[in-house]
Amino acid sequence: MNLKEFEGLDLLEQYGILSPKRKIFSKEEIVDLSIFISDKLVIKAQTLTKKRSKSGFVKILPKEEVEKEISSMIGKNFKGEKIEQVLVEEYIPHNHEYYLSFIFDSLSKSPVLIISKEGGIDIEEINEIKSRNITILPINPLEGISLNEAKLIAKKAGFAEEDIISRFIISAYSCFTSSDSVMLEINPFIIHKDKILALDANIHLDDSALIRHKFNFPDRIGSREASEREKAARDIDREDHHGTAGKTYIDLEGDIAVLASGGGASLTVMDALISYGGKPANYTEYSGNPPAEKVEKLTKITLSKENLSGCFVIGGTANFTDIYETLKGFLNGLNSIHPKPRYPIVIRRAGPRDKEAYDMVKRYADENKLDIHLFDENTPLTYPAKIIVELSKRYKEKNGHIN
Amino acid sequence: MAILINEQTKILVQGITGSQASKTVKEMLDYGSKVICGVTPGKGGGKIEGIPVYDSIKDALKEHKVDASLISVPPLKVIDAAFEAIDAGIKLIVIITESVPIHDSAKIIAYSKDKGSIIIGPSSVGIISPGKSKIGPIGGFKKAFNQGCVGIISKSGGMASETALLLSQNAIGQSTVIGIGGDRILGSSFADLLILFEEDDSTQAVVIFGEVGGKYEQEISEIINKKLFTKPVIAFISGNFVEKLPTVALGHAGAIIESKENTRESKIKSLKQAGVIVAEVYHEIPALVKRALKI
Repeated sequence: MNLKEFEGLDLLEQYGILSPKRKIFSKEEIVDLSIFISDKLVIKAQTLTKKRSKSGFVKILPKEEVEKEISSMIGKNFKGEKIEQVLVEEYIPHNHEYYLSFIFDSLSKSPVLIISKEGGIDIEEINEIKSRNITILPINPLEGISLNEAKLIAKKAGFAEEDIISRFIISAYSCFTSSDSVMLEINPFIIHKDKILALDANIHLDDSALIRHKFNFPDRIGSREASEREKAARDIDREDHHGTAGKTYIDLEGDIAVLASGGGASLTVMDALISYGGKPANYTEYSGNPPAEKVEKLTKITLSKENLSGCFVIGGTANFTDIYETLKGFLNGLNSIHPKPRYPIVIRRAGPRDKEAYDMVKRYADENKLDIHLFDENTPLTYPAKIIVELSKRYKEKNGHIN
Repeated sequence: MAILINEQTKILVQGITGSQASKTVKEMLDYGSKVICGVTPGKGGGKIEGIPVYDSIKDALKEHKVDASLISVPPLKVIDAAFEAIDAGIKLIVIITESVPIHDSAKIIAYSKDKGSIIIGPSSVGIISPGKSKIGPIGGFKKAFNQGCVGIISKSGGMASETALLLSQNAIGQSTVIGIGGDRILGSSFADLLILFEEDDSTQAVVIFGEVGGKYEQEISEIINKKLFTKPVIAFISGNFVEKLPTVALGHAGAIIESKENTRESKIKSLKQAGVIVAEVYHEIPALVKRALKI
């Protein structure tokens, strides 16, 4: 889960990493800037999407112009994200900006430290920065970083201020590990009166580890706040840990509801669906043999969207997900939708108890006069994507859909 | 022959009394796998599917000799379970639990390197050497897997089976199929396993099911260029769709895209340069395998 800058700065502060005096403003607040002493202030839109400065969402202005700028920034859109908070901070004059981050590297299978005297650059992945003056060091997670090692790193990276840089490295690593971050980036940091100040923070927390912390951050999907449907879907997994259903649910703008199974299969199928001209209404995936009840809940959430023109239930050949149980969950979910869907439903599943499951679905479709099309493992995984796109198109033509 | 597991492999299951684990154990026994003991702290003395349960690995090893461990415990308990198995000197550890915190995975992997154990996973669906043995839930759909000469390595568990089925439908059997999991850091990468497949006489080619995210293709290219792997590799990379969504973790945490140079297109280019045969469309894989093997 991504954190906004001010949330990241707050977190860093708990580990002794300082930043300039700051205050956060949202819509209804009276702008009181009396805590600030400098004539100029920095105004920064708080977004989950990064690289905002190039779009004019980071400004340095005289104190008297700040209030106007705050009200102008709030409510604006940045790459599809609505700006709801603005951070105002003391302006600290500085000549140099430096860079530090910790991230997991799939090659060394360990955390790596990235540090550079050339901060302010746009980096998030190691391979983009090879050619620059940057030090990258894998860290043994069993040992962490000792003060001596940190000093050597600071020296190697070309810093004359070994003592303060080494303590800063250790504090940042401590924040990275103790908060279970997947990535922690401080870009830039500056040295001001022999102290290090973080001028930004980009922290991604590990969703899998949130359960062992008491953070108070709002629920998010990537770079935006989660929708009601997305929150409801994620709650399914939080309430019951058997298999997954709903952990990844993302609202999209199309009209074909998708209930996919398996991470890899679902992505392969989404690619196919889009390549055939289909517009998915959502992405979601269940796997690991979830009980029928969980699939039922996920089905209800997925089919609660209006103006659907099709439903696509798709998965690879399951290793152990009980097809009968999961399709029973799907039918139970379908049963609670009123009025009954008239749009086409394409199902392609294979795995344990698939024959029994298909008999059940056929009976249900006949009894309820539903337009269900069944495919088994003899149809390649990606082919039914073409079918649902064609059926959905025909459905829309017949029913006078606008899109 | 096969890699990692065969009909002789003696398997211990950690978390054997869990509902999913006991189901998996039954399937493994049905398949002919030698599951010989299990561990669940506090439940020692009982039996699951006729298999004795112990409180600790140490207790189990007093009675049994073990080659491999399957870990199926809740996510936050994986780290202790894995350290226990590594300390006990078990050389192959398959972690099927999903949502293991990444800091825990990194520690497990570092510790296994120090002590010389192989970790598969986390989030692995398991390993199957068709007709010989399987460890983990992989192969629940038996007819997908048939003995033969092609290895499969897949991040996705579902696609491991799907790809085996696709090959089987085209009369191509498999030597060993491994689900390595889709996390950002993996106990065993594609490259680690390719090196094992190189040594295996029964494997003539390897199919890779990859995803965007991570830098595994760089590693694959490297070992091919260094001639550490010399057999044909046929790869498919999924994830066009993910690239349209900014920084959102989908089915697998590993598919997080954080770099322009980490796109599907750049991965494919890098693999092709190393001589890997890349399938543009998923169902092309069998034809490409046949062409590579001249069958």
